[in-house]
Amino acid sequence: MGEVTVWLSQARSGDPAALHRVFEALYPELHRLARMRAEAGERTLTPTVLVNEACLRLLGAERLSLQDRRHFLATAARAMRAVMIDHARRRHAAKRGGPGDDVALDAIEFRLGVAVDEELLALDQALESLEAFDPQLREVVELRYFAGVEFERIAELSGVSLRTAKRQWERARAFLHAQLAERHP
Amino acid sequence: MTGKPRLRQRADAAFDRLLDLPAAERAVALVAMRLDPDVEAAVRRLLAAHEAGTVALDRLPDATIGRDGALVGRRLGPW
Repeated sequence: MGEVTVWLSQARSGDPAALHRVFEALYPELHRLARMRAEAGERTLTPTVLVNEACLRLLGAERLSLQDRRHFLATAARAMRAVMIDHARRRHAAKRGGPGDDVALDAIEFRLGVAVDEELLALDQALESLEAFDPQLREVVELRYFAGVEFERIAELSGVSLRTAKRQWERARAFLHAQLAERHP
Repeated sequence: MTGKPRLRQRADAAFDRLLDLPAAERAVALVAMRLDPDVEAAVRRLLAAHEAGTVALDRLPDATIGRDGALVGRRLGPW
């Protein structure tokens, strides 16, 4: 059993620090994979591909229980969000003054629909408000948006119907969009 | 719970109920709910956001994957 699987098991037993250790393992792995792919000349990095590859590397062929799967994917989505926000911050800072301190990372072009980094940074802030409002809704957004998990799978992981998962997304989407409109009319 | 969080909860609950209705009936149903004006205004903002065209969140990173067909329908990870 790999150490990530052990941490997930500890999280299931109620150890709150265990998921943080999973995050700490995922975060540099996602960065490393992104850098490797960028250096190999890949211009079409997508968060889902990176998350998927990180999952494969950290878990190998291990089979997880439903609860462990949920914990792991939610943590992977959160780590991907952190990586993307870091990237947006660096690029944003580089645009405003001088080159960034990490050329390889600056070279990465996530193939995102979001047109500008400011939009992603504003979304990150709005997600903090959503977290305070309803952590479950924040998790749905992270799974869907930052890890590309399909609604059917989100429903299965969360133990809710497909209709409920889609409704949670609609509520979260409206909440976030209204927040963004309020801050950036 | 008081203040803004309470307002948000009430607006979200009303918005959730309105989503059960066809889009054309929501405006009338909202008025019929007789909510506090600030809650009603918040619900209107949610409805406007819901009905807006493409917003940032709709431009999913994976939309591009979908077109390539690379990951669509595949399970994430070894499970």
